[in-house]
Amino acid sequence: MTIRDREGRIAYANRTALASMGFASLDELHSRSSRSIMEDYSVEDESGMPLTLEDVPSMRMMHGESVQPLVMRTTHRETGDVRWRQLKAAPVTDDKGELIAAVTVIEDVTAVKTAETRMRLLAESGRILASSLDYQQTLRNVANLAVPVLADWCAVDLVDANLRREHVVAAHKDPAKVALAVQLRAMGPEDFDPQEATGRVLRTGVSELYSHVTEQQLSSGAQSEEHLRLLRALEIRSVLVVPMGVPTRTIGVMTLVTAESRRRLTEEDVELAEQLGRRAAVAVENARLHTTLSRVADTLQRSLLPDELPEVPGWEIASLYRPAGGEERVDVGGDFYEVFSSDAGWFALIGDVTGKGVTAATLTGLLRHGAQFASRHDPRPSGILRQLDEALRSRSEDSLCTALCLQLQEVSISVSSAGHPPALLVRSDGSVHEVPRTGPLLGAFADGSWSDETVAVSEDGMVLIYTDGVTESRGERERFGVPRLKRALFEHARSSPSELLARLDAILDEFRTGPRADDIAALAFRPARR
Amino acid sequence: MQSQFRVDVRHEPGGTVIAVSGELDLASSPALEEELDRAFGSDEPVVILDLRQLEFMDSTGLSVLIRAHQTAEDADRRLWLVKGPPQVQRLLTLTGVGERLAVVDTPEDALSGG
Repeated sequence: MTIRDREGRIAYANRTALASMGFASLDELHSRSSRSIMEDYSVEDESGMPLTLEDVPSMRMMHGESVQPLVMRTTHRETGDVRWRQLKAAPVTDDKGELIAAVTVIEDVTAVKTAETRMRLLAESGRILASSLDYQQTLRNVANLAVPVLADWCAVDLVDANLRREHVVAAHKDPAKVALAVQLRAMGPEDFDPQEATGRVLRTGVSELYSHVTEQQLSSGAQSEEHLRLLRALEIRSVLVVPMGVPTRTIGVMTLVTAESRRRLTEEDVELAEQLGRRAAVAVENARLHTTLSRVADTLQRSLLPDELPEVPGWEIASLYRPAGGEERVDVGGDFYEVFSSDAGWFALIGDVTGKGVTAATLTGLLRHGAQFASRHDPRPSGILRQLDEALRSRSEDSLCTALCLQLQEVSISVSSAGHPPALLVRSDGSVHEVPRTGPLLGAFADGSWSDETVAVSEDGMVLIYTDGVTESRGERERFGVPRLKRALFEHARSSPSELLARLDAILDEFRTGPRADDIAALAFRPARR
Repeated sequence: MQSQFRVDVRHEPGGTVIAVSGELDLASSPALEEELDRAFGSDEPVVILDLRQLEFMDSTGLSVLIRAHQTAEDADRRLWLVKGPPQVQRLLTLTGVGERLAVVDTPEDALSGG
């Protein structure tokens, strides 16, 4: 509790107030002006905005301004001690009602505010770390978590299994200083020296706190004169290094540094920092796994797709394939197609395996290659489908797929379909004809049967086979549907197969809202121009 | 365009009616599968799957139906399908599943013996 007089001087302070300001007696307090006392500290309000003597409630009251309770954070520049205080001022008036002094009751709310700040930081960290699966973004988010609330600087070092530095990210309130931090970090040794603090923390998984960094510690950590000069210029006060660990290993360290704020990091900060370190490690690992998974899916997908379409004598062909999910996908799709030849001639196959994931994807490989073998035993499209059906039904786990197989003949095609969207044929008069389906989907029923439908293809006719990802594409109000597909076919029937599919790709892209929910595959054929 | 998926089960004298609504896809299929397994696990001889309120069904939903058909055959039960809206029926017709399953227009038709 203090009493401020009309001159703005602290006329009285009780023992508690004196002690918290670091004075032994009232005389000692009077030997300094209020302003100079305040300069011993860095003072901010709850939102981090700097406060001056004029903002203090008792001063405002003495100047006749409106007064509200004020919560302030003070950091002693010398010791780095941080305290939170709530100040409430009440007027003292003389018997004429004139304001003669302001009494301020000071409540130390350090414990409460510190706990509150920490909870908020942890809650925020949970939200921020969950917000991105992108590796680079997650790393940046991690480094920014602790700044500026907990520290002035935060550096994250990730290492590989051999403790070689893999990644370094740094954060500071001032973006200009971030570049400096990265530069400094880069001056460190590539391998973590086990003797140096960060190396030790990596190895032992035990945090290290340097509440008052000494000149000697700076020197021993510096790699060169230049390095030491830069380190000194930072005015480092405290350093706290915590491990970032996941169950299997410590993947890196998080280094917190206080400097210009003059705040001292203490034992109480260690637990919070360790919690952040743990959460950060999990977030980074998740992001890494996601990226790896994505890459694996990509590789798998590409290896399971047919290479260049072969040249089919007498026919122009083109293909379109767009996997579900686009760039962000981590799963592999179930659509497949193949164009192959056997003694009996040239065949095209398109299909859609139920489900997603590795199982569905490997099944597509089986079916594509299986079809080629099957064509040697029974060269009719229906025969190929029948054999694929048998192969699927003989598997122990449920394997279902829709498929369409056709043989490219001289001026006609022979088509057999198993529960698949019908092949579309554009005739020379512009009409679009659906080849009727011939049998149930593959792998479902013991008594399935399929037949072949032979259809003439005119000189300027075009054939399109596709998977339901095309017609099921979601737009703003409805799905793409067969009518739109037929219209696209009609409008571009005079184009080449590759032009048609390019147009279809563009139309679908424009129609679609959101990422692709399902794979899209299509094959287009036209008798070759003579 | 996402809809919540719901499964409602009621036991009638003539059989168990499992009514589905919303979208039947990869995410919601397990819930339906569970109810079907439960129904076939009991000694209820007639199971009726009511698709009238289904807004959408994809291939995973389809595979649940196919498996249910197989289970019913193996366990010597009757599985009826109450016809769904056009987009659902289209998938059942296209894949040839529709003509292999016993399809009725209302649950009452099935409960009274079809």
